[in-house]
Amino acid sequence: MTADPLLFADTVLSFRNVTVRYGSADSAVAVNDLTLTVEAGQRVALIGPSGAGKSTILSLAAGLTLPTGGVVEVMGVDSIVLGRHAHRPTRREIGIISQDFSLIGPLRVASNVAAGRLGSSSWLKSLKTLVRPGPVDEIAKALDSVGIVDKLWERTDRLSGGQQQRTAVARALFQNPQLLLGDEPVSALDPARSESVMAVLTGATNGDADSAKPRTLIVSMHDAPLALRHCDRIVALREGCVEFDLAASEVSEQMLTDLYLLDESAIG
Amino acid sequence: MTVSTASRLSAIPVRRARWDRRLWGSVVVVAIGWSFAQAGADLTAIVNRRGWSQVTSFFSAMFHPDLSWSMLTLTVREAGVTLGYALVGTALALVIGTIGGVLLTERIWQPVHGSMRWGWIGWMMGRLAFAVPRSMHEVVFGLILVNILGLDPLVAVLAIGIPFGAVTAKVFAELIDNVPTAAEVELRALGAGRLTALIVATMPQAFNDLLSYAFYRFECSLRSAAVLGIVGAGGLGFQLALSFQSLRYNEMWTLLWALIILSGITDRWSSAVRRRRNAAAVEMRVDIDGAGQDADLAPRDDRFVRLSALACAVSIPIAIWGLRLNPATLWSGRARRLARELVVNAWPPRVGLGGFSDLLRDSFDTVALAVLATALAWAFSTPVAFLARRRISSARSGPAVGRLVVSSFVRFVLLICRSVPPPVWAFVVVFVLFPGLWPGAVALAIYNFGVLGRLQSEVVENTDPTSANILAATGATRPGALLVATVPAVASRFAGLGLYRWEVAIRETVIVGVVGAAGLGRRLDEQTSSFDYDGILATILALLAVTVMVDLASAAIRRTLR
Repeated sequence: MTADPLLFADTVLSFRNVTVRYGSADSAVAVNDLTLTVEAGQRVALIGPSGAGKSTILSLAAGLTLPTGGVVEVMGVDSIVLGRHAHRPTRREIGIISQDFSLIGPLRVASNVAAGRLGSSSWLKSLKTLVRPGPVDEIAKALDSVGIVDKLWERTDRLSGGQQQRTAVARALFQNPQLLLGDEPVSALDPARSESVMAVLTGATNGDADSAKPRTLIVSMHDAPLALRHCDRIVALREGCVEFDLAASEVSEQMLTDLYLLDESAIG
Repeated sequence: MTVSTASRLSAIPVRRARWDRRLWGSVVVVAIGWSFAQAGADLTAIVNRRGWSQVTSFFSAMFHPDLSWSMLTLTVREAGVTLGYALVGTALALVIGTIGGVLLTERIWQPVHGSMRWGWIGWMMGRLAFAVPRSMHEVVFGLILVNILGLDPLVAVLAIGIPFGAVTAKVFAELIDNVPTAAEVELRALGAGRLTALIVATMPQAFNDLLSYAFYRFECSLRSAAVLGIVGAGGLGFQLALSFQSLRYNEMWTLLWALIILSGITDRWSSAVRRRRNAAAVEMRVDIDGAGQDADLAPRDDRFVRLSALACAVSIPIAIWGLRLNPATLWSGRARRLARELVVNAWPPRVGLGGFSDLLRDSFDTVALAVLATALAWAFSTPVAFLARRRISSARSGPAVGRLVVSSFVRFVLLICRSVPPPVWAFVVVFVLFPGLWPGAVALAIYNFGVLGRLQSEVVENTDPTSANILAATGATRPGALLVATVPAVASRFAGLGLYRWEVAIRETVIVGVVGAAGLGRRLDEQTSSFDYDGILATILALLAVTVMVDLASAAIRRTLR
């Protein structure tokens, strides 16, 4: 490897014929022979009914789930080897807002946000995150952008669900990764707050003036209109397959209705 | 990251320190320092180098147990007796513990809103009532009951069942109180009764911990049944004492291996039951967690758990029959007459020679002994607990074979430490340490290291690995993710377990008193051998007072942990 692959990888995420089965029985297929490519700088929304495979795709992209079949490449690295120490530089460029927030309850909000940058510190240095999280002003800035800077020193498990979700968002913002994965990142927020947090997330992907790296956002969302307003590419999923993959402007009302329509034959 | 220009950064709040935690943290540090001072820190006055050869021959006999046919048949027969005591004793303890556990929770005495008001009187009375049997070690119960019932197997069963029932009640209460109140408060706000809300909302959340503790309690009963053998109750312990008196280490190790194997089987069985209980819980948070990669996490048929419950239910009547237990002995004329005589002899309690100042000194020594033992055990068991955890929490946690070898070895060492009864450890330690606080403290520390290491590794295994996985997935190193995500998640429960073991260690000081360890244990040992019944009562009352004070201090510290 002669050059930093991150700088030259225009394709951030590449799925080739990916299949994921849960359990040994072939009945539970979460993702079925899926092929998908996401370019740097795109803002992608995964939509579709429950069980369509949205979370599994994000989990695959995060390297938390391994495919049963096919190849998943994240920023040019095969996700199978993503667990190795040598790929820390790649992993620190992946930000995750998980559905259940995955925060550390007994810690203060500031420490949880600071944990976003553990990818660039040694394990010994990470001890400091517990005692004296820093840099406080940057942590406060991340929290302020989601409107909960007043909770900076609160215990995280004392926060409401919405506040915890925003803490998870702030952690990802503070981490400042190239690829930001959000599994229902605004599910616990009211409509107005959802709009502003989505604006912050998409704003983060616009890139800073001082950074040449284009950032990529992939979110799964139940709220299709919200997705249409904030993302520029909509990937609709159903039963582990891509139903349609279009620019946000090309998605019609009818397509959404069809997507969420209950499949009568499947019920029968 | 860009923040929209419209929003100016709001004022950053000031960080507030948790003063109650700092205060109690300092109290704990001072208490440990004081205990060290009490025991003496001059190594040359503590270590007896000449005893090493005895220790070496004891441990080398570990690899050469006596495997003669007569020894093996004896071991199997006595193991059956010990197992029977443990089974029936645990059954009794769980009945007492479940009923008592609910009664001792703080929340059952608390109205939906506001403080306990008068409820705390009920809570306090309940705790005091259970503190009495709990403050006495099984061996003390054994000594008293032998005077009433004679050498009857019922002595061992009651000596295990009553104090363990009281301990189980307290632990169950605390495990239940550790569950967040949210769900319960919600139900009570909807009009559900206290007991209903507790059973419906809180008990299911605590169930894994309760089940795990029940199995762990069975293991304790097994080892306690061995210790009770020394009093003459029969079983492995009695043979162990006989072999030790003649320093036949090879015979001892045959019996000890039997104990280790019995404990080990219970350990594995308990983990298996727990893992299956957990599978159901994990199933609910399938998603980004990376489900379907760890075969152990896959939802499974609950048949194993049901069969385990059935096996317990069937084996208890068999054990009762096999041991020839006859509850009628309890109210036989002879038992009543002997009980009356015991009360007459023991009342009024008499402090005896040395007066109150000696009793007070012994009480302080007992506290110091327990603090030292627990602090030593906890300091070693805490890092070891992470090594001992078996279930590999994430799909990506390095070479699994290496982890398995390390965890198996660590678990085996922990198993040996807690399977060898504390009096045996004490006899071994006293070869190399001069009499005083240290031999008792070290013996109890070895035993409690084994116990704490197991309990703590269970806490680690029961901890949701998602947070640590997410941090690792975003680039944190494994140890870094463990330190930042898993350690804070387990910290308060680790501290709670340490406090709980401190309370148990207070009671266990009695059984290491025999090796010239200072404190109330030695006093009790001297009084027992001279049938000084009124003196024994005074010592037991002092032990009771110490236990209640330790209990209160522990509850106060625990409140700051929540």
